[in-house]
Amino acid sequence: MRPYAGLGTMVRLALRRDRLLIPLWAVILSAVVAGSVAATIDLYPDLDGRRAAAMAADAAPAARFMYGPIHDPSSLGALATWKMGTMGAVFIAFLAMTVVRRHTRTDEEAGRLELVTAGLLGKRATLTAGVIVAIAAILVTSLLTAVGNTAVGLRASSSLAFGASWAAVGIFFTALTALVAQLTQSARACAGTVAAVIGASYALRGVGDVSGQGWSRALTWLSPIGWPVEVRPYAGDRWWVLLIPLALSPLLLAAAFALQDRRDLGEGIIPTRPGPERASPALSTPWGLAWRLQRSMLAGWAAAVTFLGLVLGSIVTNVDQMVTPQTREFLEKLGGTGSLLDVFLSVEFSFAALAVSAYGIAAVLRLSSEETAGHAEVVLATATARRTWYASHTLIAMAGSAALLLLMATAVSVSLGLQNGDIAGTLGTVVPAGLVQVSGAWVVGGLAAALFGAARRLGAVAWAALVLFLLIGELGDLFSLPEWVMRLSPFSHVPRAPAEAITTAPVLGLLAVGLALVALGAALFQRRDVT
Amino acid sequence: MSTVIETRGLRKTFGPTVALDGLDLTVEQGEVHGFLGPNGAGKSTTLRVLLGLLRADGGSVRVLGADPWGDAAELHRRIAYVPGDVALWPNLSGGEVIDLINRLRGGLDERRRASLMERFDLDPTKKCRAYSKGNRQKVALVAALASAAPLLLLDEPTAGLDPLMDQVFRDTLRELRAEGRSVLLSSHILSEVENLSDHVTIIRAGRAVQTGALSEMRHLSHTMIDAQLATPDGIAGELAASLGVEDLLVEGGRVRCSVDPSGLPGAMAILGRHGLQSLVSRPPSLEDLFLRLYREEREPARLAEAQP
Repeated sequence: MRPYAGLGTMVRLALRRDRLLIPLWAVILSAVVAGSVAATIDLYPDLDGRRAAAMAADAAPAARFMYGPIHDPSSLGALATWKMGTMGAVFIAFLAMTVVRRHTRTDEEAGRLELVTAGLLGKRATLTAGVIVAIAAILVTSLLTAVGNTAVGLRASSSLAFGASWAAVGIFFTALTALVAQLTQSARACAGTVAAVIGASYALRGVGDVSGQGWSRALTWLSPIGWPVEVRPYAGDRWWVLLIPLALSPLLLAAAFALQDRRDLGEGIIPTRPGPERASPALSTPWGLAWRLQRSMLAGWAAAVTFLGLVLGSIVTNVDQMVTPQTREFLEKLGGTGSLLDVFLSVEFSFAALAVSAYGIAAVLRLSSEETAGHAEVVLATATARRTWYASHTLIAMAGSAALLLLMATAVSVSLGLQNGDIAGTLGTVVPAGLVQVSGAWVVGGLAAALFGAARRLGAVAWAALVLFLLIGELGDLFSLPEWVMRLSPFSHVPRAPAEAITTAPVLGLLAVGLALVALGAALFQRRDVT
Repeated sequence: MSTVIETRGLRKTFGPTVALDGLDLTVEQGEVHGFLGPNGAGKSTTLRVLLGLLRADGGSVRVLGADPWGDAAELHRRIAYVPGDVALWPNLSGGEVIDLINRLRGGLDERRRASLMERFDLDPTKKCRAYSKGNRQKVALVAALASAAPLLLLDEPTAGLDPLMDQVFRDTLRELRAEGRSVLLSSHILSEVENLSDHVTIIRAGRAVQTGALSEMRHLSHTMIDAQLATPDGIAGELAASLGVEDLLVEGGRVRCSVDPSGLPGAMAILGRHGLQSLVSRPPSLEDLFLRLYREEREPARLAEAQP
């Protein structure tokens, strides 16, 4: 049979299934970028103000870690796209992963591919279709962003370089996901692996960008998320950097197709090991089951936050050597007043809280995926009460979120303490600062739980809420959003410790809201059908 | 004999779709009750209401004397369930799933577990994602059949099983019946339940259309005849006048009809006189029964005339 037979049909099927997802991503992402560019232009009408802001931002290690350097302080475009350049590259990578995985490994695991490949479909048709649709989605998003930036007043050629830098990252992660989808047998493992690569790339680029020079500068170049930063759109437009992802992607794709040609439908290249003949005593209760299902994700996150904490703790000691008045002013705007080191830490912790909230949502929504898959029906047909099953996953999510923040704060403290010689003292100030962030994460986790309780499909709305909170926090000041909108985000109420003193009232209030939302979800779930 | 399942006027709607439309179902203790209906008739919905996974919109439900919506968890200690769509955790082994489900229910018959594993020829160390559909079905069956639960709810349990394993399933079910346990067995294939069940309830569009002992169901004891004749002249009149012949259809030399046991000798003699060339006889299928029910609904007067 011809390997690409039925490709057209598969592409149309994929486009039909993604007819909402792709346009939504493309429009929202490009609109947010164009909007923030327009707001920056309004905020800094003259060159001097712009230069001062850019230099201050560029000198702050926390900011360099999160968004990368500003390569040309006098370039309006470089300042205006500074945050969204890096963040957008991460979003694009996730878009690529989502689309490719949906149409390959997820379908294969669900048995849907068996349904269609039994027809007159070539062996390579589905993977090719997934790759084509993902690349189309990325090109549309990137092009729309380039057009949007040009429309709000930036130079067209540089805007094109900006869009192209996103597109190249997207294509790279499309190819990577295509390859990983061949290696792993489950869609979940595929997503976990690619997400880990995205996370590691982001952190690697962060470390490289903070250090600024020397061997560690090379880390940025090793990171796929670092390449669009190195293209330097609006600050030199180094198009040649794009050769790296554009040369690597065909290699990854070739490997993916070679592996696919060699394996059976439903199988992975990494074989499944046999399991135990009898269940261990731990697997005797709903709690044991939930832990078994949740533990690998928690372990992955624990490893990631520990690594990140150690890295941040080691960078932070250099902060005090870089002080300029502008930097201080800029950082204080981000993280409140206090010693520069404290300000840096409070910025990083509020960022970590968002990341850990993502873990919380994913862990809570295991309820939703268990129900969709039909596993909930199996458990709830036993002597397991609904509230026990619900509690088993939500409590692991809540306790897991707290544990992750504790772990990260401890890692920062140890790494920092090893350098200043006072581990105990550092633990005493840094760990509470990390732990106050649990309050914001619990509200987000509770929200996901309440939404799931109301209806199985509603749970996913929590992701939209988290993105909204992220955008409010990142861009709210820039857009001069009204106070009440800013206060919608639970993270706006969390004390910015250690730079600011910890006030107990908002922390306790947020924790109470989080738990109340979990309880509300339990009550709603008790009353609805399990489908 | 006490009643283990009793529903009266059970109603369940999903938005505009009416899944159950006043269902009456009674299962007595110790019987294997066949629950028959075409796909989409509401069988799985009924089972989920009986388990308290879905809440009925109207009517009454009692399972083992309890209300499944209110007392679900406690009630489930005494119920084993095989869902119609067996979904198991892909990263757990078959052995783990069987143990887990039984521990969560609170009781496992170790001896029966071991014997079932052997009879169903199931490798317990394989991860669920690596099982074929038939093997996943076996895992769910072993998990349910190895329990000590007095009531079993089985939703199309033999889907995906090969004939050999189907036989093992039937043997096991007979053992359970001998122990006095009750089974509600849903299926869309009549022949699948008729060897196993004492009683059946047939549902269509969310309503019970017939219920009772199989032996008492007149239409189910009929024989469906499909014959080819060399000399069909006058056959229609002769057969129509013959006792126990129904649903007669004559097309040239081809004759189709359903005959009840008492009318079989007469009917065969008539066919023989008309130069019988080929003959297919089979028990009625669920489809035959439904075709009949549809016709009765549409033309009750004419049928009543034809069958005095």
